[in-house]
Amino acid sequence: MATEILMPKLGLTMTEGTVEHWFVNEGDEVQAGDAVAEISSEKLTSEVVAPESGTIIKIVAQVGDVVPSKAPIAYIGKPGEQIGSPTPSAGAPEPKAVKTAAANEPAKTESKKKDDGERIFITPIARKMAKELGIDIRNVVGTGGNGRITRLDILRYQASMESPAKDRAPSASAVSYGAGLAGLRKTIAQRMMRSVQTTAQVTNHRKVDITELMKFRDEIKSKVKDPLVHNELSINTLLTKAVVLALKDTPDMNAWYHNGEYIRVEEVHIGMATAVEDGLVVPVIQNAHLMSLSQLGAAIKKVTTEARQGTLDGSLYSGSTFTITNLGGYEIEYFTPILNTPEVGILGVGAIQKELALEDGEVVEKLKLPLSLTYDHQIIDGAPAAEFLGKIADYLQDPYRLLL
Amino acid sequence: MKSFDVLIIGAGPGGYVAAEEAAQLGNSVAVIERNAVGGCCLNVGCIPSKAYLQYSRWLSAVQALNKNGISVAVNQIDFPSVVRRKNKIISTLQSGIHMTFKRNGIHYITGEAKHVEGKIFEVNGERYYGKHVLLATGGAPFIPDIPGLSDIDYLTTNTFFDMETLPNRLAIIGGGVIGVELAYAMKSFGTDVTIIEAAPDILLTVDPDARSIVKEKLQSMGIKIIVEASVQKVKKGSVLLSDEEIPFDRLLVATGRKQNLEIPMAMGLELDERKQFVKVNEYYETSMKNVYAVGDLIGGHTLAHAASAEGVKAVRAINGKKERPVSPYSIPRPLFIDPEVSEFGMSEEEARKKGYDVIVEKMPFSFNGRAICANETEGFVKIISETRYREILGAVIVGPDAADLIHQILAVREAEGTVDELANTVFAHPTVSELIQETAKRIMKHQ
Repeated sequence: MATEILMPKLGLTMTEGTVEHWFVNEGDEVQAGDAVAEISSEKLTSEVVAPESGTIIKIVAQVGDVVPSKAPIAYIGKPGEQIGSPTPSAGAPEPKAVKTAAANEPAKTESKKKDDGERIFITPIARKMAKELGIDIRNVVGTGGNGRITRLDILRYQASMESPAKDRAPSASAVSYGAGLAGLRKTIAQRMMRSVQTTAQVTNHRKVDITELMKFRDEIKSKVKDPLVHNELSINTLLTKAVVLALKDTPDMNAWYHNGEYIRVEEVHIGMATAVEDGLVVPVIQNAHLMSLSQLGAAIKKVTTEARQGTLDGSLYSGSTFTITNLGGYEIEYFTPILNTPEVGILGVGAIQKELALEDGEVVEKLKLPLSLTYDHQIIDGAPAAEFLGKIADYLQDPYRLLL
Repeated sequence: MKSFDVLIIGAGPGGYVAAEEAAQLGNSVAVIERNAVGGCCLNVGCIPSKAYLQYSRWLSAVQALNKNGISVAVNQIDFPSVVRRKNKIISTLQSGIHMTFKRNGIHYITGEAKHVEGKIFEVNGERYYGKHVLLATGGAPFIPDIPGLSDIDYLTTNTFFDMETLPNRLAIIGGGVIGVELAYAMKSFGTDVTIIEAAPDILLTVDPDARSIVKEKLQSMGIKIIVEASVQKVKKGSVLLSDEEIPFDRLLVATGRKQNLEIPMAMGLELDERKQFVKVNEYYETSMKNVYAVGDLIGGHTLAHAASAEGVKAVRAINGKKERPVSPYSIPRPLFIDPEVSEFGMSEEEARKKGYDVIVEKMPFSFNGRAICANETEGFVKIISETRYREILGAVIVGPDAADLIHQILAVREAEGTVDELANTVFAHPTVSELIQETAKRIMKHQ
C-alpha cells in the first residue's frame, strides 16, 4: 500500500508550508531517510525525508504550492502501484487518499481566510445576498447571535455602501469615526461625524399655529364615513405633506451636495428618521410628491413599521432628498437635528404646545407646533431657509391647500 | 398598596411565560388571574383537547390492528375516566406553573383585577401598582346571535370539557380549528357528530390542499359536514337550518372568540379601527406609556405560542432590550387531528402578491417508506420558496406528526437558512422527515 509523504509541522505555529524544490521525480526509488523535497514555512526552510523505502509513485504538490501541515505532498509505494489501488489487508488507502486530496482545496481556502482573522459566521441567506450584491463579508459587522451576519446586517451595509455621503469623507478619518463601536451604532457614529465635519449647519426655530389644522382634521374625520386606516390625518402625515409641497416650491432645498457637486433633485424622497431596536435608521418614502394624503400616510406607516421590524427592503434605507425627524412624542420642543448628508436640509418636529393668545381682545387657546430646520449654510443662507420654513407654516395654517 | 416592577394581568400562555422572563431579568413580578392558572389554553383549550385526541390516536391504532391481521376489541369506553385523566393532566401542568412562579419569586394573585386609575388595580379589596403593566387577558368564546340559543343549554369550549357523559349526538356550530378537533375527538368516542358551518367551507384559514384531505377524512369517519348553512333557529334538541333539522343531545357553539377588553376599555387604551383589538406598537406597548398588551388581545395569530413569544418580547422591551416583534410568518399553525396539519409563513398566493418568483413543490407521504410502514400515507409536505435565494417562505405539512415535523423547516428558516440547507442535510433513513428533504431537493431542480 502507498505511504504518504506529509508536509511537516515544524513548531507549534506552523500551519502550512510551501514546496520549494523537489529532489526526486515520480518513478524514482528512494531509501528511508532520503531527502525528497525542500519546503519553507514563514520562519524557516527544511528538508522533507522519505518515511520509508520504495518508489515515488505520485507527487501531488508542485513547486510553489502551499500545503497544510500533515497533508500529503507525495506517495511512496511499489512500482506501478496506484494510490487508490485497494489492498485486502486494509480497505483504507483508497478513501484515505481520495479524502486527503479532496481536503486539500478547502484547506487552502481556509488558510487564506485565516490571514484576515477569525472565522466569519454568516447566515445562508446573508451569504447569498452578499454574493449577489458583491459585498465583501469581511467588512460587514454581524449583529446576530454569536456575532453572526444576518440579512438585516447586509441590508444595512448595502445602504451605507450606496450612501453618497461615504465618498465624501476623507478616508483617514473614516477609520477613526465610530472606533470601538459595533454594528448599527458604528454606522450612526460615522454618519453623524461625517455630517458635522463636512457641512456648515445652522438651525432655525419657529412655532407654527396649527389650531386651524386641528379643526380641519376633526372636520374631515367627522365627514368621512369609512374609518381612516392609513393615518391620512395624523399630524405627521399632514406635516410631511406640507414639507413635500414646500420642497416643490423650493427646489434649492430638495437637493444633494457632495463631492463638490450640488444637485437639485426633481423627485421628492422623504427620509423619516425612525428609532429601531438598536439605534436609528432613515427609511425613505420614495416619490412623496406624487402621493395623496392617504397614500402618504400609508407609505409612512409602511416604511417606518418595516424598518422597526427589520423587514424593510434594502433599497429604502437610503436615497432621501430631505429628512424629517420627530421628537414630539418625547415632549421635546426644539432641538438641532444633524443633516442626513448629502441632503442640505432636515426638519425637526417638536411636541404640540397649548398657548394663550389675544384675538380681537379675547383670550383664546392656540395650538402651536415647534419646528427646527437645520440647513447647510454652504448652500442655503439664513433668509431663504426662513422662507422655506415659512412656506411649511403657510401650508399648515391654511390646511385645505394640503388637499389640492 | 403593593408595588411591582411588572404587574401582569392574566396567567395564560401570554402572561405566565412573560412573568418567568421578567423574574429572570430581575424584575419584581405579580400575576393576577381571575380563573385558573394556565388560561384557556391549559384549562379549556389546547391541552384538554389534546388529552381527548390522544384517545382518538389509540382507538385508530386499534382499528389499524384489526384491519391488518390482529384482532382486538374495544369493550368499553369509560368516559368519566377519560375526563379524570384530562383533569389530572391539567392539574399536573398547573402545579408546574405554580412551581415555576415559586422558584422565580413571582407573586400570584387570584381574583378579578379592577382598574382603579393609571397603573393601579384592585383585587379582592387590595390595591396593586405596576411600574409596568402587561395585559394578557385573552379572550372568551364568541356567541353569535342565533334565535332560541339563549333559551337552551348549550356548550362552549369553556364548558365542553366539564361534560361527564358521552352524548349520542353532538351538533357543533362552527367549523374552525376548535370545532374540527372536537368533532374528530368525539366521533372517535362513538358520538354522532354534525358540523354546521355558515361559511362556504370549514377550516377556511387552512391551506386548501390540507383542508380537502381533512374534510375527506372527517367525512370518511362519518362526520356530517354542512357548509353554507343558514341557521334559522335553535331549540331544545335540534338546530333548524333553512332546509333541514339537525337533532342533537348536546350542542357545542364554537364560532370563534372575542377579546376580553374590559380592562383595556376601563383604562381608555386605544383600540384598532374595528374596536376589536388593543393597539400596540412594535414593542407591544399600548397607547398608555408603560402599559403593554400581548396575545389574543392584540390580534394576529391568536395562538398560545404567539402570545408567549409576544409576552417575552414585551418584557424584554420593558427591560430596555428592544427586539423586533414576532413575525406573523414565524408562527406555526397546527391542527391536531389525524392526519395532523401544520403550516407557517406565506401561502403561494401571498408570496406571488409580494412579488416573489415563487417555486412551490409538494410531495405525498405515499412516496415515503416510513409512512407506508406506519400505514399513514395520507398527506404531503409542501414548501413555498422562490428562485432568487431559494428562501423558505412558507410550508404546509399534512401527515404523521406534522405539528412536530414542521419545526424542522421553521428552525432552518429562523436561522436564515434556505431550501439548500434542507436539501443538503443528511436525513436518517427511513424517517417521515425524509419527505421534507425530498421536497427541498425538488425545489433545487428549478433554475
